[in-house]
Amino acid sequence: MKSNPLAALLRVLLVVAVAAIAFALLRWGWHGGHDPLIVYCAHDSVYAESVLRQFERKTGIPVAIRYDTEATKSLGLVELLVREKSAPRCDVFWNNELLGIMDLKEKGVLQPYKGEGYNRIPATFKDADGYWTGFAARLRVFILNTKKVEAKEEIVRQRLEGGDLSQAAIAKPLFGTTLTHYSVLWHLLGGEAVKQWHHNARARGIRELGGNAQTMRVVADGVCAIGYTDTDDFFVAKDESKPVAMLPATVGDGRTLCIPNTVAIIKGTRRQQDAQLLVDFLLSAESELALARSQARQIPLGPVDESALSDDVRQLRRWAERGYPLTDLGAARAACLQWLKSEYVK
Amino acid sequence: MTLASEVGAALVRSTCVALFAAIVAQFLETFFARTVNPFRRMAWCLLLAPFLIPTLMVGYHYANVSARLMDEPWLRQLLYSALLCLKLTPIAVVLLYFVPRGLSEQAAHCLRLTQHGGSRSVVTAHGHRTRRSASLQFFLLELRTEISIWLLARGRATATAFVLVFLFAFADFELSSQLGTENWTVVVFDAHIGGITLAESFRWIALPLLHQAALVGLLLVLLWSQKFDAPQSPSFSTRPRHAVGALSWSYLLLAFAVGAGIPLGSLAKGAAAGVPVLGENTSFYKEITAGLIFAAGGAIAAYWLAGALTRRLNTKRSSAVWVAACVPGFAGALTLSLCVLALFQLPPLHYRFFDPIRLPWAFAWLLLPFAVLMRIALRVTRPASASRLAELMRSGGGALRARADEILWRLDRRKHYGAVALLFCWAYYDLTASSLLAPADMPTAMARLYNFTHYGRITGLSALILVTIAAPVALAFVLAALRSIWSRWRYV
Repeated sequence: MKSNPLAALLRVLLVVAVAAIAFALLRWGWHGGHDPLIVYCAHDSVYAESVLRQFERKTGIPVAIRYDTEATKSLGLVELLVREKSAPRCDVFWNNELLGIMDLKEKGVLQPYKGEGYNRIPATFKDADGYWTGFAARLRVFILNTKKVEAKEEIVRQRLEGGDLSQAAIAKPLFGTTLTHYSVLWHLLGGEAVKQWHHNARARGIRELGGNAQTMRVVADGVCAIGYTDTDDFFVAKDESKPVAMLPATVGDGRTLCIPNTVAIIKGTRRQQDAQLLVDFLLSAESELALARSQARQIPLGPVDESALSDDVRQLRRWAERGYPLTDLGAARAACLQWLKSEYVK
Repeated sequence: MTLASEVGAALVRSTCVALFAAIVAQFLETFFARTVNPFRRMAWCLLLAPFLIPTLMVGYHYANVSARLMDEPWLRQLLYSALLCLKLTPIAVVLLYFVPRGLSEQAAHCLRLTQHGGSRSVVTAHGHRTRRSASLQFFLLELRTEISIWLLARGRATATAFVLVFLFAFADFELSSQLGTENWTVVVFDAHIGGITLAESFRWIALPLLHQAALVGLLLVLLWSQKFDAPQSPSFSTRPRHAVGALSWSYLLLAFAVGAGIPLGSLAKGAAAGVPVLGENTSFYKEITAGLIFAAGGAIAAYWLAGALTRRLNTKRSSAVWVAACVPGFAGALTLSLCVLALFQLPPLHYRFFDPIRLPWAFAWLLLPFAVLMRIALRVTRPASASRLAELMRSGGGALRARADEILWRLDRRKHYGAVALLFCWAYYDLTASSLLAPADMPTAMARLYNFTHYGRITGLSALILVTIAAPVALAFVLAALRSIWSRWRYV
């Protein structure tokens, strides 16, 4: 018997249609028939999860979270939000840094909101128009292998200023907080100085790795003596009892690099009220304290009960007070990234 | 390094991996054909384990080793290439095993006799030649004969295996990204930082895609002209030569240890202490369930589609259809996922209603080449007469029908169930497509685990990875056990 191609095509289409309906129904039932508040979260899930679940328990609003992964670096959450601008899926965006969210503001993806959470955060960590607000920060630090180098600022400066850098490691500056670090230098010193510094460091053999976690790992394992990383990665090594110490990475006249998490509501959200509730919750002292108590020891930016903080976090808070202002880095970041892409992506 | 140089390096690496796989597969194919059960079954398990173990687990284990080799980029590349070899060689072996020889052993023997007779007469005719040059000429003629026999018998199948392994090695992203080794896929990802349009991103993958397309074209021609049949066994009952047997068992044990045993062992060791963490991560079970559902949808769709495409085997037209349908799968998870993502951004597919079908849709196309190969393999090894008798017996009704069902299950259906289970596990373990295409409110566990591995060796993480990896295998076994219970109940 000969098969009719049209009938076969219709059969395939029917199967696809039935499958689409079945999966749509499944998705509807997945959250008990309730439409969840969709949060895109670039912060590491091991820390973000418990905070968002606490919000669920407190308000009864179901939250569905989409996390960023290294695998989707090509289509990271910031880019995904830009692509979905005409038909947004996301209600609230929790970013783990600030420059990406500034870019989203420029592209008209965000909508402003100034609630009670916004009011408790210092002006240097929030957008004046309320498009985004920072909270729970981390610091750029030097991670040092104490078996290979003494944890003194003077010694670290000497090792970095002259000679061979094959014992020093840094993440590729195309993304993450290393890009923020470069953008700050670009803003502070100008493009030419950064290019010179970068080429000089590469010529002296600095090790460039895939990310801050890898940088931490090579220093913790003694492959390198010094690395540029973030406090959350440093504490992973410290909690594993690795022989490591940290010093704040500074720029200019001793300013530290304090990089906050940021939160924003996506323009076109269908869950306006719930989104505002979540933003206020994330910006509350309760959430900042929860993140400060996590393994990442994130630094509360608003007023909190000091006695509830660990010694580690209290020290970080003191360093953070000398933070370099990051709110007007947009142009520097764009120029720096354009140059970096011309250097790395050919 | 530039994209062009990374593509060049990937071409060299993939060629080496494919060569290794093609050479090793020659020996292993003979070994498998001449080994009897239960040793053959055990050997298959050892061979397939590195292929079936998720890349996430292997990468998680060897990431630290790779970081320690930072000072030795060549050793790092060697580690990466070696892991790729262990993972992909099984594909070449399976292919060679199921593609019949183009020349039977009897025909090869006859060819040898005629060629050798001819070569001796050539040597005798040139009596003025020295003994050394005569034996050299004889050796060269013998070599030429063996090469032409091999080309006739195994040439096309080996070329197909080579191209297939090459394509998988060339398109790899997950392992290289976890090991932190440079690769063209990493360069392409870097190009996306800061946001570029989809058209631009396709411009970036144009160069590697061009190479892939050329090889896919070659593969299509090879597959199209391939005839599939049951494995011939002229001398399969004879035991493999001692040296071949020893070498094969050594390779299989080494491959299993490096590609599966050591990563699994280290994970299990850390997992025991992390069991309490499992209770704290309840949302994780929901993500495992989502992964299982999407993978099941994709696997069933791929197997159903493969069945429809290979209904009539070994006709030029049907071969052309199934070979063409396999093209998206050969392009790799990243390219395919980007295409599916682009497709579902077009109206009317951009509505949220369609979000949940994106992932099983992508899985189906991704798995189709494997599903087709498995369908063909099962078709050509099916005990047709016994199955026909069982089907006739089934029409008897009552207890006879139940007994016939059981016989059919043992003869045939069990293997189909195994094939779907295998596809299901592959889909479930996929990372790239899951990360890009899972709906925002139904994330899958594998994508989440990848995020977790950022933190390196956390005790709880080992337990989570182990549970996530065991879930589809456990489900497949539970379903098989349920079927068995149901079958017994029917008898009663």
